Amino acid sequence: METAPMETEQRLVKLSSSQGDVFEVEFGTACYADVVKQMIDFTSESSDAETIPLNLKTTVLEKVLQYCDYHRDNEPKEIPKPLPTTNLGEIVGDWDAAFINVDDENMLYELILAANYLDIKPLLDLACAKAACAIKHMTPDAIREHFNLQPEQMTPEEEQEMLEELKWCTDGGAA
Amino acid sequence: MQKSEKRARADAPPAAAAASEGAGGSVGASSSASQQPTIEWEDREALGCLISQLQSIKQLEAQVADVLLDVRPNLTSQIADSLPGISGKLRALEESVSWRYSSVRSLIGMLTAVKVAKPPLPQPIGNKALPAHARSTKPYTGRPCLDGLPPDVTHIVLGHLPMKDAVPLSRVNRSMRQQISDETNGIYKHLVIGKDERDFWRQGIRKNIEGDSAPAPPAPYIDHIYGYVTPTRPRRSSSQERAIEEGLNKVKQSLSGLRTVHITGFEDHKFPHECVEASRGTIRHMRLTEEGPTRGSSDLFDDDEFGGARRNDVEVVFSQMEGLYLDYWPTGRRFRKWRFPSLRSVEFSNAIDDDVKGVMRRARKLRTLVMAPFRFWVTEVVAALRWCPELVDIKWVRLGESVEDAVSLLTDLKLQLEPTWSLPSMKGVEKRLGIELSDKIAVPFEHDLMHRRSPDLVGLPAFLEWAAAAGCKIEWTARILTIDCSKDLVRSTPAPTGAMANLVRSLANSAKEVVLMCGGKALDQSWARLLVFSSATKLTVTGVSSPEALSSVPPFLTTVHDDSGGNRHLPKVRELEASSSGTLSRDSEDERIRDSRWEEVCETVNGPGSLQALLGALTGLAPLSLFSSVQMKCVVAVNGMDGRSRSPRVVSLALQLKSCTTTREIQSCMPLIAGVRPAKVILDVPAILRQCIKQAEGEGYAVLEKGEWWGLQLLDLRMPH
Repeated sequence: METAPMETEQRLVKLSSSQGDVFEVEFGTACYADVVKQMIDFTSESSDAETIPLNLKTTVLEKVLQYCDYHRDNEPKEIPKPLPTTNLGEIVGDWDAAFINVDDENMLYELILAANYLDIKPLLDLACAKAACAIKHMTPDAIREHFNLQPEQMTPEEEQEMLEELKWCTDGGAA
Repeated sequence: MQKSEKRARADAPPAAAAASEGAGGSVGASSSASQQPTIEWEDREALGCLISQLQSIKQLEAQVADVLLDVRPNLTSQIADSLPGISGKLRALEESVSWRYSSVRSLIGMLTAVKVAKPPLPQPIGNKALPAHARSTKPYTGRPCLDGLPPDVTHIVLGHLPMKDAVPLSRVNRSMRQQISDETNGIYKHLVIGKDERDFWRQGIRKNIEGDSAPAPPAPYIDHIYGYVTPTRPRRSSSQERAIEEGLNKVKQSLSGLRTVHITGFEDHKFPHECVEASRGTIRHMRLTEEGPTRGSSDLFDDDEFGGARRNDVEVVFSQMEGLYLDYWPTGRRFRKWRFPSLRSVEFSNAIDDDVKGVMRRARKLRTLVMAPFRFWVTEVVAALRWCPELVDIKWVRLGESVEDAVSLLTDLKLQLEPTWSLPSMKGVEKRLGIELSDKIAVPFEHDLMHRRSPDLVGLPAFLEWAAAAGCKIEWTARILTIDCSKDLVRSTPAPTGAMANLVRSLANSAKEVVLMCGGKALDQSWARLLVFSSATKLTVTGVSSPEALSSVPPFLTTVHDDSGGNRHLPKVRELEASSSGTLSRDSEDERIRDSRWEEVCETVNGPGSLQALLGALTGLAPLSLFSSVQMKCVVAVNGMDGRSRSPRVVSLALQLKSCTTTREIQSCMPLIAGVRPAKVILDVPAILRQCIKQAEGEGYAVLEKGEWWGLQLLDLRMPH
């Protein structure tokens, strides 16, 4: 029947965040995430109204659903490796660039983890590309400072060994 | 997305909730003067157009002001005395230009300062405590920070960086170092090289290894004859050279267990090439791309230093490689030694036939072959399919430019694939073919495509039957789908059923552009269930030479949804191009439309008829273009449709009349202008044909400008439109 897919498309699915906030989205949007699709497939038809719990904060789930809703009809662009530029807008287009340009860096990493958890490969790629853009021109010291990471204690021998190992890709040969 | 039952979010602060409620409003929605006005994300394109249009107006005002500067000296005291009040009126004109200029400037400033809101987020419809078991869904691993990501995710992040930039990050901390040197996902297992890295991999890497031990270059000096001189760097000693080679070998050793390779500009890289060959036993996936047309531009692989493939060269066997992506097969002779005994999938984006055949010859276990669409297949490539007996997934095969070519290609495909696909061992194996229809082939399909013309050839239905019997699923696609309603048939062909119906449905669904050839018999209504062009954004109608010709527009193409008013069969069409010619050719000297024809075209556009109905049903229409055969080329843009019952408002109409040979031919454009009634007319006419201008002025148009390309621009003075 021609109408069957349309009916499925119009079906609404309830997803809940770890904070209990419930979102009602179209079937197509929910199924953009492979994990959610599997969960929907797993539930029987009689349990349409059942809410599917997702282990994501409300703010993160909102962003994920926004991405799924947009890209179910707009195929995301493939991101070339390595990134030819750090201006993501040139690579992925305005919508994706604006979407991933989150104010809070924590949110970016939350999105990376969420995309990984929900198995949304294009979102994972996009968020990882954004994270890569952020660190592309940073020195290891700057990264430590930016992410508040503690420098590790190394013996002089270990340090020398590491410097020797990295010499080939360190400008001027001195790490 | 369900948004109707919004509620204030429990985790959002009151201020944020208030902002959320107010967010997305219009510019005027910003109540506080200190707040930067924000517009909705969806309005950003309109805002861009608005700014651009205002900038054009600003430029025009500047030009007017410039001309006005030259006007004042010509207003002599004698003229001023003779015409009392003229000086004051001229000043008022100058002031009004100045006022308009600053108003436009201020408007541009205001709009430029507007902030565009982010795309709206979905809102929760409620909050409820979930049962305990609901909380037990698998938690994701990792912490939301760079060194807290799972190793496979860190690999994706670092995989976006060139290897030379990613490796030094192991200095960040122990966790990063562990991830970078990981045996499976570590950076040393995944070679990523971007464009513009040729210098690094040729010389930079050597310089880095050399480091402090490099002999210092002698200081520049001033010679009394030659001036400022920089002496050449002294040659390295043999021990220094050995040290560099040792260093390079160490790097090569650490890069000899690569699992994936991703290189842009591969033919430029000698050292990575050696690393890739050293990893021949471990590489599983390789992607070699080029930036720009560099095929054959490299001299690296044809010189004596690097050597070409010789008869006694040892083959380089990539024993584990399963996936290969190539822009094209590298031209260097050394690549001829490569073999891929385990390769299962290859994808080409820009290959020529020899590339495809070259890889297939080296990869007999290939299962998947993907070639870029819009590329014709030649007989030799089809014949090469036989070299890979396990090949079961092939796309995109583009059917030839003509029906004869298409039939011939289908026959060849069947001929080459049948021997292997019909083997008992292949029974039950899923097979897939992706076939693209050339835009030269129209529906309803011609007799020659549907029926066997000779015992050696297969028709389309027979091919589908064979594919189904072989267990092959065919994915059909078409960039442009042509609907032929130009034939003067007694009875229109009914729509096909079964596999042929599915084929047509897929083609219609995938087409980005639809060409409707008018002038004959309309399609049978039974085609309505197949021809839903859900992806098409452009509709081209040819043969629009008379209202009668338009009776061949299938009525179902003009049907609209009861609720939304959108076109059922062309829901996304934003662009319409109509041609009076029977073909898409716009430059045929043979086709000249008589003067009376133009009146008919005019009627067709403006009066009732199928085109009007079609226009009314295309609710998303943006530009409308009308192309005649040779004398007239009309580009008509409409402001969009206000509703299905209203005519489009034509903004501009461009007519190219340079090739007109008689005044009568030129004059014949006036009924079209009067009928379409555009706000602006651009005429490209021979300068001597003033008659046309006079007639246009009689219709209420004023000559606006004499352009370089377009001879004249006329403006409708009967404001408002």
